[in-house]
Formats: sequence, C-alpha cells, structure tokens
Amino acid sequence: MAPSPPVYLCQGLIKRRVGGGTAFELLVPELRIAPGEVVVLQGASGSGKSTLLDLLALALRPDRAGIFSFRPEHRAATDLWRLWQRDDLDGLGQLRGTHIGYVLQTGGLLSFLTARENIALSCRLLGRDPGGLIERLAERLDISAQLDKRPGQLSVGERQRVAIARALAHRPGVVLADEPTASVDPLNAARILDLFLDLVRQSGACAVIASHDWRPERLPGVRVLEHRIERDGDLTRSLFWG
Amino acid sequence: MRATPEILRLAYRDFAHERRISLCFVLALMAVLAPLLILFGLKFGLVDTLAQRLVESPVNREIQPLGSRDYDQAWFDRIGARPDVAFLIPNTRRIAASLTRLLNTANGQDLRVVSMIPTGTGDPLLTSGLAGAAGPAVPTGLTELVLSAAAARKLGAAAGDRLVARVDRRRDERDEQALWEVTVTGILPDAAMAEEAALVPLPLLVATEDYRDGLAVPALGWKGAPVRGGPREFARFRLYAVSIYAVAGLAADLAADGVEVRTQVTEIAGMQALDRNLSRVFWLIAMIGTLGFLASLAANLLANVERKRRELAVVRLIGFPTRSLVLFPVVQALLVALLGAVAALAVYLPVATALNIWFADSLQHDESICRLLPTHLLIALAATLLGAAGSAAWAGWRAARIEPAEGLREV
Repeated sequence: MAPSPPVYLCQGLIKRRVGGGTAFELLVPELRIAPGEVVVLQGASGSGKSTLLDLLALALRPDRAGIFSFRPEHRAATDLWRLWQRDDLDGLGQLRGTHIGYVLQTGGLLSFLTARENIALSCRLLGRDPGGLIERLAERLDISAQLDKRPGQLSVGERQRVAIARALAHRPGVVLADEPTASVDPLNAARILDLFLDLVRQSGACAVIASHDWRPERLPGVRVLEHRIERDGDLTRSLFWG
Repeated sequence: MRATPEILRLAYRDFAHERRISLCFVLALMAVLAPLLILFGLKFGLVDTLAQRLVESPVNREIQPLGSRDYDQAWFDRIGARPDVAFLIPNTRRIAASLTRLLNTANGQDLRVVSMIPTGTGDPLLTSGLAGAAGPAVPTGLTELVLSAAAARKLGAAAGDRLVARVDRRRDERDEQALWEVTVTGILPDAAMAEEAALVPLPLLVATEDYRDGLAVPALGWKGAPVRGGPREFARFRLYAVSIYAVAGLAADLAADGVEVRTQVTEIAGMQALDRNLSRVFWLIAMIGTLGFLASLAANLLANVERKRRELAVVRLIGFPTRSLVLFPVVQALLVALLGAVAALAVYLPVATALNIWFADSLQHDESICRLLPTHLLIALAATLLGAAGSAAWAGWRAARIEPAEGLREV
C-alpha cells in the first residue's frame, strides 16, 4: 500500500532574520510530515523552533522555498509558497482557520471572552455548532469549572489547557504547539503533555510540538526532527529536517 | 465562514470589556467636538444674526430724498415696480408732516410737534424682525396710528389707547386748530425707531397737509377752501431697497433721474468689510478647530489599533479574513464616534440654551445667539463617523497586512 501523501512537504524552506549586527537563518532542507504523525522540534531557546512553527502555521512569510505545500487529509495539496508570493493572506487564513489548530506559548487567548467563548471561537467562525464538544474537552482537560471565567481569572496552566481546547475544538487536521508546557510546573507540564497527546491521537490529527526540555524517549510513537546549528561569522544557521 | 457577524460581536465585546478605556476615548472625542459645535452654533447664531440684521435692517435699506420735488403717480408706479424696491410710499412736505400736539386724556400726558411718517402694507418698519414677532397692525383710515416707543413712553400710551390729536394752521389771519380722536394700533420697539414719531396712513397725512394748506377735509369735518381736483403730486417719498446690496444701484439710478438722495452706502460698505473680516476670522478658527478635531480623532483611533495588535494578531491566526481585521477597529471607532457625538451634543444643548437665555433681551423674533439646525448636527455626526471609520479602516488595513506571527510574538 502506498504511503499517505504528506500533510506538509518542504524543500529548501528559508526564513532569515537580521538585526543588531547579527543574522539568523532557519533552513529546512527537507521536511515531510505524514497525517496522524506526532513530530517534536527540539532545540535550545533561539534555535528557530517557534519560527518553524509559525511557518507551518502559515503565520509567517518564508523568504524562499523550493517546495512548501500543505495537504490536509482528503484534500488536494495547496502550494503555500505560491499563496505567499501572491500575498493571499485571506487564502492562507482560510486554510489556517479550517485545518490548523495552534497552541501558543502563553495561550494567546482573547482577554475579553470567557474560556468557553475562546474555545468556541474557531467553530463559530466556521459556522459550526460546537455542541457538547466544549464540555467534553473541558472535562478531559479539567477546566470545566473555569469555562465561564475570563483568561485574566485563570492560572497559567489553566490558560494553557484552554488554549489546547481551542486548538482542538474545530477538529483540525494539524495541531501545532509552541512550548505548551513551558510556563507550568513540571508536574502540571507532564499532565498537560499527556492530555494533549492523548487528545491529538484521539482526533487523528498530526501534531508538531516545539519544546526545549522534553524527553521524547518517554513518548512512544513520536518523531523528533533532526536539528543542527551552524555558525558562519555573524550568521547563525539553524537546520531542521526529517 | 461567518466572519462578519463574529467580528462585529468580538468588536463590541472588547469595547464593552474595556469600558473604562472606551469611556476615555469617548470623553476625549467629546472634549474636542463639543467646543466645535458651540463655535459653529455661535457662527450660525450670533454671526449670521448680525449679518442678517445688517442686510435686512430698514435703517440700512432706506433711501431718503434730499429736498422736495413734485413726484406724480406715474413716477411712483415706475419706481415701485422695480424688483429692487421693497417699499415705496408718497410723503407730504416736511413742514406739513407733523401733529401739533398729541394728548393722552386718560393721564394728561402730551407730546408736542410729533413727526408723522406715512405707512402702509409692507412697511419694513412694521414687518421686519425689528418690529417683533407679530409686528404692529398697519394703521388705516384717518383715526389710527402706530407710535414709536419713545413717543408712547412720553404719552404713557399703549396699543388700543385713544388719544386726541391736534393740528394748527393760520388761515385768513386767524389761528385755527383741528382736534380729533385717534386710536393707537401699535407701538414700535426702540430698535425700529428712536425718535418721537407716529406712523400714520397716507390719507391722514394728506388730510393734515390739506388742512395746513387751508383746504377743507370733509371726512373729518374740517372746514376750508374746497379741495383741488386732478391728480395729486407729492413732495417726498419713503423708499426701501429689498436689501443693502440693492441700495447703491437704486440710489445711482435715482441720481441719474435727477433725484438727490441720502443712503447708508458708506456705512454699509464699512459694515460689510467688518462682516467679511469677522467671517474670515471665524472660518480660520473653525478650520483649525476642525483639523484639530480630525487629527485628534485619527490619532486616538490609530493609537487604539496599535494597542489592539495583539488581539488582531490572534483574530488573524484563528482565520478571520482581512475585511474582519479592518472591521474590528472600524466598529469600535464608530461606537466611540457615535457615543462621543451624543456626549458632545449633551454638552452643546444646555450651553446653547443658556447662551440664548442670557442674550434673550438682545434678540429679536426668530433670532438665536447659538443655533445649529438638525441638518448641521447630522453633518457633524456624519463627518465624525466618516472620519472615525476612515482613520480606523486605514489603521486596521495596515494591521491586517502584518503577518500574524509578527503580532503573535508579543502574545
């Protein structure tokens, strides 16, 4: 049986940042992420993990790409590089809103909505009724009592779990998470991580998780991307591939 | 996607959530708009009232003949038909146009040598704003007159009072006098006429002129020589142009016709120059105020959009399209503009009412010191809403062009 076509296919994907007399370049020589796969980006702070996640979230414009395509399950592949070249932010936004859930490092919740409304927002945008899904997710993530509170009334860990629920509520094909447990204590971090992976696997989505302190050997079925840092004068080049 | 209804809901929720900051924006807008409304209210009230008074004032529109001449009916018909003439009525010789005495028998107060001025329908002294809301009724016949305020004070007379009028003459080496009763049909306000005088119907003026000339006036039972037949000619006239702008042309035409006249042309030119310069000063202040208002509005709303970069980035990340990112600050700007305009109106209305009450004594009928018409308020509201929406849309569009990750890094 032929392998499933990859959700993400990247070749020669480059993002550069210049400033303060130094230059940073993220280079992805080749990357394939299959449907349902859980991929971990490991590296020190400043190694470009968040930059790569932003690129995969269609939230950051690459400087160059040989191939950069996105193929949600049961859909035709979309040439992301072409969309960026055409400056089609609405097209990228629609793909992101429909097929991608993104857990930001500090939650990224809207402060003027309750936790319930934050979780429901993606569904409402798509015109879907979240029904009892919010309650079920909240129960799994142990935030049922917090659903009617605003983010400012929640702890960091609770906000993180609300962000996870929001990323999963509209049943995306891809879930991206940027250091989802960085702001919580180790005990809670392990618990949140287990819940997160459990929910992702149940949903059948593929996931890309950035972390600087996870030990993937403890997480079976997870693929860690290859990573290397190269220095060339003032230029620091970070490579991820796999 | 249900982006538009969702973004409208989000914009309102954020506006309500940050109610204290929203209130600050509303108050900031009100603080700039309210004085501007009052300034424009003064322009359309005080400045326009003064200008209108200048244009409409009978004093400034009057063209007075110098000396006496014989003016026949054909002359009056010709001049009276001109479109630039508002009112024209014959007048008798100056020496004959006075009452020897007016006596208020109710209180014994009297007035000697009272000028009589011919009046009739359309007399600007009776119909202009100077005459008050309704204006005195036009006197008719031989027994009605309108008194100037000064004359009424001296006589202690009011509208409806009956007075005894007297005209003296010398005929056949004998002094004679005619006495008859007249009714005061109205009192002119001080602003309309300062001198002690009476506005009387032309037939009464003609009758007293005839009497002084030794002729009989059968209608009043005054004896004398029989009245001459044939068309009558008059020595003088009362003439008013339709506006101050018509005075110079009319005077020039009369002069060309051999009629020497006196007008307020020089004073009018001076007042017009003053009016022009005052208007320039006003518009300069209003323009600077309006620009300041729009700049302040735009600056506030642009700052608000900058402050909202985080929320806009999250909204973009969730998948809302560009139009939603533009709509979000636009909706909030419109809320600020609408509430700010209402608050400014709430400040303007009592201030305008107070100004109009304080200056009520100086105002004539239908005049205001501070006045804005509903049209003016709608224009102010539309300009505020458009300015707000324009500024916010531009800022929102700029924010929408930023990649979501740029804002997300601040989250």
